Amino acid sequence: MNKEKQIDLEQALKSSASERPASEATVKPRTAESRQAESRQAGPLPSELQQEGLQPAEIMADVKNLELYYGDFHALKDINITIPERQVTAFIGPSGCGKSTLLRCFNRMNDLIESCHIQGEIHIKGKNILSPETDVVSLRTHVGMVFQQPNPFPMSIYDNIAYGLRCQGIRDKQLIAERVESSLKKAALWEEVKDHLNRSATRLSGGQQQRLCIARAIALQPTLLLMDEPTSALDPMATSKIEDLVEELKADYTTIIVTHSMSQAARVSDRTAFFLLGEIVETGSTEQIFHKPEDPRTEAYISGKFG
Amino acid sequence: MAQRKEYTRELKELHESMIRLGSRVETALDLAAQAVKTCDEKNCKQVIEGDDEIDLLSEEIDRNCVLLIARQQPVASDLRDITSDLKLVADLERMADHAEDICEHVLHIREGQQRVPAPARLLQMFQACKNMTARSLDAYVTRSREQALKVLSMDEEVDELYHELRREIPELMREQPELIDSYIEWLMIAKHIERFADHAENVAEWVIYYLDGKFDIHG
Repeated sequence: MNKEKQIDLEQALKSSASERPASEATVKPRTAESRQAESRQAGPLPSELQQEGLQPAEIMADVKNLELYYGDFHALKDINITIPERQVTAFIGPSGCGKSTLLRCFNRMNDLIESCHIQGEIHIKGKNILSPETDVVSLRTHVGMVFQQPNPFPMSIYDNIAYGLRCQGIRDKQLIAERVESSLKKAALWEEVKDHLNRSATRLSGGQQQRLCIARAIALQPTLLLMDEPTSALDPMATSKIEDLVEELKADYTTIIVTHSMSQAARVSDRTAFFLLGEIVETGSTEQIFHKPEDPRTEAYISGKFG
Repeated sequence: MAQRKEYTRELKELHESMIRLGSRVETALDLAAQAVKTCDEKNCKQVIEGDDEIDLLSEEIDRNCVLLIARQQPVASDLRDITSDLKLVADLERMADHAEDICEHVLHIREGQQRVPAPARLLQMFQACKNMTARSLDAYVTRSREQALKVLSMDEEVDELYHELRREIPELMREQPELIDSYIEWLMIAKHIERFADHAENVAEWVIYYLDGKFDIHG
């Protein structure tokens, strides 16, 4: 892995008051050819991504030989998956297949479940976040989560965003105000709420509440954004806005989205992983998965032949 | 529990309509070949009148494909099935048009003062094209890569016969200038049958696309 480009999570936490460096915020356009040339220089890669010419610095997270048990129940079996940076990865599969369980591993939400135990490694920007030394509170500021049901705090729109920043020890009111505005703008909510920032967030519509939750997550400038069926409680218009937002956020953020909607996975994601009975059956570019999947079980699931 | 019963039924119906269209096109080619051989008016009229029915069937298939995409949002093999049918239907419809045009030319020959029978090589072209068409439709029905690949290698024979005719017919025109009108018609017919075979090749290529999901099929 290219250490110069590696983001130190702790360091990033300390420097959270400043905006991202320009070099990170700007995504240089690359051609397939230049990617391949870089890839050849960068050494070996996980085989499935190597074909697409990604280099190690472009990998956000790497899950290696992950096993997860709820008591005696083996919920995730030998999971290996690479999450490329600034792309949207969709996890699909029938209920109970383990996709949300894996999603929750990325910010150690499963720690809250007593019977849960995990083996294996999850590297985020090169650091194994499953190691006992990981500061879980800090991890969760860098790995944001958006849930199925919008869950705004029972406070004003402004305070919903400012809360996390204040918890991080940021006291500079000007900085907080700036971050509230930029987060709401990035979440495509600013124009709708800028005149009522002191109004209770619970008065917003479901779709607005969900965009507020996304703004709340990105206010902390996470390196990774997790979305667990973020539109399943929303109508098609609100869903469409969230999907547009996921696309726009790609310039700065890496997103993993769990969805039961095949068409949503096909629309918003760059890569798709299909889960079945606690295993990853197939991972590939979304185009490949929805056009010519390799595994007949993937084909059967996405075509609605079982589920 | 069996799922997507309605969708499966609709896909089956689409496939059956395609086979029906394919067999109409094959019949049109047979009749056109017969007309070329015998300069028979009845066969020509049957092909020309039958083309409207083929057009209607093609339009119905187009409509059903688009509605299936709109309602079922197909993915994977279903998507490749429906999109390749959309491409195939255009090829089959064009093949029928070529058969119709061939028959129009035969009627022109019949109207002429002096007629000359079809050159032997032209009849050979028809035979090669019929074999190719039959095999491409077999490849479609059975989704057979092996059959489809055989079709691709057969187009060369048709092309070669066509090029030989391009050399041969002008010579015959010089030798028998009084028959030039008929020879022009035969040459035009040769071009139509050459194009017909190209579309039969496309049918095989779309079968390969359906099977492999690769777009670089025309080369």
